[in-house]
Amino acid sequence: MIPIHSISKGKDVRTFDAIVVGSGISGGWAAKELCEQGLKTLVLERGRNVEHVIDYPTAEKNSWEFPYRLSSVLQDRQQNPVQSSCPVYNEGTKHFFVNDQEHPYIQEKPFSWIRGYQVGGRSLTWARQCYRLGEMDFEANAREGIAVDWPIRYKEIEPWYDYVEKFVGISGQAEGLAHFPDGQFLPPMELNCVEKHLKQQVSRHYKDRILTIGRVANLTRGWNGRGPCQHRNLCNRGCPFGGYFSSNSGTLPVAAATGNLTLRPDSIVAEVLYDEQRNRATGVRVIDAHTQEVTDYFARIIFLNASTIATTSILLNSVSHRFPNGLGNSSDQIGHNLMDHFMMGGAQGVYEGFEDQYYTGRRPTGFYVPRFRNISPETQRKDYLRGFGYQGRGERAEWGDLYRNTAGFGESLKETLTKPGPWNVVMGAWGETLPYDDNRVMLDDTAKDQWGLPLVRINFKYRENEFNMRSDIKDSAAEMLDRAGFKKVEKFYFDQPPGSAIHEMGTARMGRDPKTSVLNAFNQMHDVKNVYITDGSCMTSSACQNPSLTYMALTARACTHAVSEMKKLNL
Amino acid sequence: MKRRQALLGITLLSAGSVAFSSYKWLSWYKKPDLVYVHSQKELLAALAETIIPTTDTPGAIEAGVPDFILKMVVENTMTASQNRFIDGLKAVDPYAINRFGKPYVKCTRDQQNEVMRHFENAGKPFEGIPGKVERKLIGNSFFTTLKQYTCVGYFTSRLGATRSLAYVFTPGGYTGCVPLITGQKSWAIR
Ligand SMILES: Cc1cc2nc3c(=O)[nH]c(=O)nc-3n(C[C@H](O)[C@H](O)[C@H](O)COP(=O)(O)OP(=O)(O)OC[C@H]3O[C@@H](n4cnc5c(N)ncnc54)[C@H](O)[C@@H]3O)c2cc1C
Repeated sequence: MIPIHSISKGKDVRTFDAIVVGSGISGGWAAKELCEQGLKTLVLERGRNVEHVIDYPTAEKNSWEFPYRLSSVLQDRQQNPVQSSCPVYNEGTKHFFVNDQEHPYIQEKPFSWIRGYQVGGRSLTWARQCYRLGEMDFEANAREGIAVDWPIRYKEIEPWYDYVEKFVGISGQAEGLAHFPDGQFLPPMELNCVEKHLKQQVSRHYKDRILTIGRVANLTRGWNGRGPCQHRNLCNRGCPFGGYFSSNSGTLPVAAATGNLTLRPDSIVAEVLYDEQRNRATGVRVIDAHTQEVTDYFARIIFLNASTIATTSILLNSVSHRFPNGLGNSSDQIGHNLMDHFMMGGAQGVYEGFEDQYYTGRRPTGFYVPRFRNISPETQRKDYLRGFGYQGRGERAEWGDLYRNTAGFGESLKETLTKPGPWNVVMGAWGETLPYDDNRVMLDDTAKDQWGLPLVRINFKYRENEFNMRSDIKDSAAEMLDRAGFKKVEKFYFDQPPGSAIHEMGTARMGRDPKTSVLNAFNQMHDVKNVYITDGSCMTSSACQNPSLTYMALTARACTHAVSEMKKLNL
Repeated sequence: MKRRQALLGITLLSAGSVAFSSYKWLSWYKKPDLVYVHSQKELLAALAETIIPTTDTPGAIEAGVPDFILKMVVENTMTASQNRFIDGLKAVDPYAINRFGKPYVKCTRDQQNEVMRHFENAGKPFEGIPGKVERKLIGNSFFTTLKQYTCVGYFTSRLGATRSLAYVFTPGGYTGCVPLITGQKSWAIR
C-alpha cells in the first residue's frame, strides 16, 4: 500500500524535497530514483489511484463474463471515438483509458491523443516493446542538418539503459548489431515455426536484415519479486502475477518502500509556480479533480512527467512576467516539433506448410525486424531519410479470422472454425518521423475544460519524408514475405490519424543551445534549472524504436544529476 | 451480383439519385422495429442453431447464443444493419412457408438449410472496395449479421470456448513449435 496524501493546511506539510508530476512510465521512475536517493518526494497524479492487482477488475475474467464478449461496442465508438480507436481498447481495458467527453482537446487536423489518467498512466496498457536507440539515432540530426543536435551520444545513455533494464526485466535475444544495441536481457521468448522460417529466409535473402524475437518487458523468469509471466497475453487489463513492468507493479512500490514517497491521486497540476527574484520554480498549483479545490505544493526540484502533450500544456499554462509564453520558453520551442511514429503500413501473407505444427500458450510479443535502411552507404535511400522497424507476428488463423471468409454454415462451418487454420504472418512498420517546427501543441485562447484549464490544440501532419518511407514500408514487407515463399501476399495501409502509434514526443526538446532548445543534456530546463522534464517531450528526434525505455533511462540519469546538483548546492 | 454492384456504383457516383430505389434506402435508416426482434426469440434460436448446430459438442442454443444475438442486434448494431437484420428476419417465415408450407421452426433440418442457403446467397457482401462502401452506407446483410453474431456468441461462450475450442486461461508458458495432435482444436484465446 502506498501512503496517500490528504490535503493539509500548513505550508510546511505541503513542502517536499521533490515533486514529480505524473505517475506513468517516466514519473514512476522519477519517484523511485528520487525516493531511493533520499528525497522526500510528492507524486501528483491527476487520475484515480490504481493499486497493483486490487484494482485490476477484469484481469481474471473469461470472455463470457463480458456483456459484449469483448467485441467493439457501438456506444464507445460514438462517445469515445479517439480512445476506442486504440486497438487494445475493449471491455476488459477501457477503465484504463480517459473518457473523450470529459477530456476534450482540439484537433486542427486529425490527431489521436490516447491517454490513461490514473496512477500508473499508460504503463498499465502499453505493449511493452523495449528497444534501445543507437549511436546512429543520436547523431542523425547533426549529420543531416535536421532540427538541432542531441546533446548526448549513445555512450552517455548506455549505462542508464543497463541500469533500467536490470530493474524492469526485458526478455530478448542479443543480436550484436551496431546500430541496434543489445541490452541486459532475460531469456528470450520463442519464435514459432513460421516465424523461424521467415527469420531464416530473411537472413538468406538479405545481407542487411535480421528477424529477432520482440524485446518485451515481460518476465520470462521471476524478477525483483515480480512475475514470471504466465503467457496469458491479457497484459493490458493489469497483471495479477506482476508478469510485466508497470509503475504500479514495479517502480512505485519500490519508491513507497523507502518511506520517502507521498502519492496524491486526483491532483491536476495546473501550472508550475515560479519565483522571478530567485529564478527558480518553487512548486506547483494543484486543482483537486473532484472538489476543484486549489492547493499549492512546494519543493526544491520539480520533475515533469505528465506525458508529452500534458507536460507541454502545463508549461504553456505557467506564465509569468519573465516567461509570458510559458515557463522556460525563452527559445519559443515549447510545443513545437511534435512527433509520433508513423505506423499502420506493412504486408501480410499466408504460408502453405507446417500444417502439422502449432504452439502452446499466448506469447505477449511478436517478432522484430530492426531498421535496415540508411544504416550504411549501401543501404542509403534517395527518397527519404532515416528508417523504420517492422513488428510482426506469425500464427495460425483461428475462428475469429476464419468465419468471415468461410462460406456456408452448419456442421462444416463449425468443423472449420474449431480447427487451426492456415499459418499467416502480418508485419507492420513503426517509422521515424522528422521533427517539424510547425507540428505543434498549443493552448486555445478561449476554450476551457471543466477545471477551467485551457484546451490543448494540436496541429500535426506527416510530410514527404514519411510518405516516401510509407511506400517503401509496404513494398519491402511484401517483398520479404514473397521471397520467403508466402502466398496471397497483400500490402496494407490503414489510414489512421497521427497519434495512433501513441509515441507522441518532442515538444520540449533537449539540445546544446538554450536559444534553440528547452532542455540541456541532463533534461534540465536551460532557463529554470530546478525543473527537469524526462517524459517524451524531451526527445530531439524520434528514431523508430518504441521510445519508453529511453524515457526511463533518461529519467534515471536526470534524477541522479538532480540529486548531485542539490548536494553541491547548485539547486 | 454484377448488376447489384453496378447499381451501387451508380448511387455512389450520384449520391441520393433515384437509380437505387430511394424507398429501400430510406427503409434502412428508419427507426428499427426492436419490439419485433424481441418477439422472435424462437425463430432466432432456430436460425442460430442452423449456423452452429449441435454435433459431438454443444450447438448455438445450448451455448446461449440467441440471447447474445438479441443483445447485439438491439444494443450494439448500427441502424442500417439493424433494419436489414429485422427485414431479413421478417422474410424468413414467408419464404419457408412459400417453399415448404410451414414456418422455419417447423421445417426439417434439410429444409432449414435450404432456407438459410437462400438468405446466404441473397446477402453475399460485395468484395473489396465496393464491399467496404456497402458496409458503411447500408450496413451488413441479414445473413452476414446473423452469422457474425452466432459465431462470436458461440466461440466466446463458456460452452463454445471450452468444448469446441481448446481453452486455457492461464497457460503458464509458451512453446513456439509443437506437433499438432490428432483432433487438436484451435486455441480459444489469442
Ligand atoms: C496501447 C499502448 C501500447 C503502447 N505500446 C508501447 C510499446 O510497446 N513500447 C513503448 O515504448 N511505448 C508504448 N506505448 C507508449 C507508452 O505507454 C508511453 O510512451 C509511456 O507511457 C509514456 O510515459 P509517460 O510517463 O510520459 O506518460 P504516461 O505513462 O502516459 O503517464 C503520464 C501520467 O501523468 C498524468 N498526468 C497528465 N497530466 C497531468 C497533470 N496535469 N497533473 C497531474 N498528472 C497528470 C496522467 O494521468 C498519467 O498517469 C504504448 C501506449 C499504449 C496506450
